Formats: sequence, C-alpha cells, structure tokens
Amino acid sequence: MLLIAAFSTTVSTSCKNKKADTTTQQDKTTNTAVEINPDATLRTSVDNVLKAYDGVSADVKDGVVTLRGNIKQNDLQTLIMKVQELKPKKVENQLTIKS
Amino acid sequence: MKLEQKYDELIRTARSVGVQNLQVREQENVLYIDGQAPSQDVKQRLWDVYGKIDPNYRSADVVMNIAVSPITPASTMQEYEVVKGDNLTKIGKRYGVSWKEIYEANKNIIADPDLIQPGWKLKIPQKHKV
Repeated sequence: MLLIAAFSTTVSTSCKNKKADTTTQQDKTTNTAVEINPDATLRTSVDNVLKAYDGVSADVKDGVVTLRGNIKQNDLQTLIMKVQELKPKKVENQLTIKS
Repeated sequence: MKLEQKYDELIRTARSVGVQNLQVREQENVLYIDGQAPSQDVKQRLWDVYGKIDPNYRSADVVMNIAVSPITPASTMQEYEVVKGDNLTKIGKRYGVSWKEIYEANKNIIADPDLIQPGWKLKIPQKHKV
C-alpha cells in the first residue's frame, strides 16, 4: 500500500489520533435535560443585549426572562432571537409593539 | 408532544434545511430547539417559520437556539479523488481552501492528516466567500 506523506510544515501533530466525527448527524431525540443558565448569568447577558434596545427592560426570575416596554415591530424578532439564545427557561414577551 | 405538533412546520423545516445536531426537547411546557444552521439565511428562515406560527412571540412556549455553523454541509461539497503525490495542502491550494478544512470535512476517513492514500474520495468544502 502506497502511503503519501504530507509535506506541509503547517500540519500539526495535535491533529493526530483523533477519532473520526460524524458530520451528518440527524436530530437527536435524547432525554438530556435542557441546559438553563442561572439567573445571575441571565441577568448579565440580558442586560448586555438590552443595551441596544432603548425602552425595553427585563425581569429575570427562576430562569424566566420577562420583557417589558416598547419595541418596533421590525426589531422584535431580533430581540427575541438574542434573548432566547441566552439559554433561559423561557421568554415572556410583554412588550408593546409599535409599527 | 403537544408543542411538537403545534410547531411541526418549524421542526420539519429545521430537518429539511440541514440543521446539524438538531435537538428538539419538550420540558415543562416549553419546546427547546437547538442546533447549528449551515448559514445565516437558513437560521433566518427558521425564525420566519417560527414567527408565522407565533407572530409576536407571545406564547412563551419555545426557546430556539440556532447557531450558525461554519461547516459546509456535506451535500454542497465537491468530491476529489486523491492521486499519487497529493497531500492535503496541495489539494487545498487547488480549491482555495486550507488543508485543515479538508481534514475537518473528511475526519471519517482521514485518521492522520499526514497520511492520505490514492483512490480516497475526499469531500472538498466550498471556498469561503469574502
């Protein structure tokens, strides 16, 4: 069997001996518990997100993020997306939506 | 299961557009949808479907966390057959991608990036758009 050695000096030896990954995984139907961030972590990350949204405030309690205030319809989806990605238990939208 | 039915279109879309590591879990009346989309467009499409089912996101029964994966889905990759004298760097230069990207896309057959064999069919990721 003919083996061809790579002669790139950039090839890292750290890549060696790694097991093959499956890159075409289908969705998992595992019963793994959902990871919910603690309130302190959520509070900090929610505040960071809200810096870009004047007129919006949030309560964080037991993993539930409740959004209040006013928001333009066009900004709503992005805000909900950013907050849902912070690993909360759920996001209650009590915002008043302006067109 | 009730929520999976309500958001069936969203879940089916996530499956059909190639979201990797998709996890759909229902816990305490909230449906958690996690995974990696192959592009920002795909992620946006999912959020648009979600917005169609729950127009102002008032239901508070979904937490969707979709990251955008830098990995190109296998279906959009070209295939290259290794010939004598090849190495990953050389192949990468031909396609404008790094040896490491080729290695990452072919970990199922390449155990050692220093050793590739003629006849192997490698998936070549698409060149990054600038």
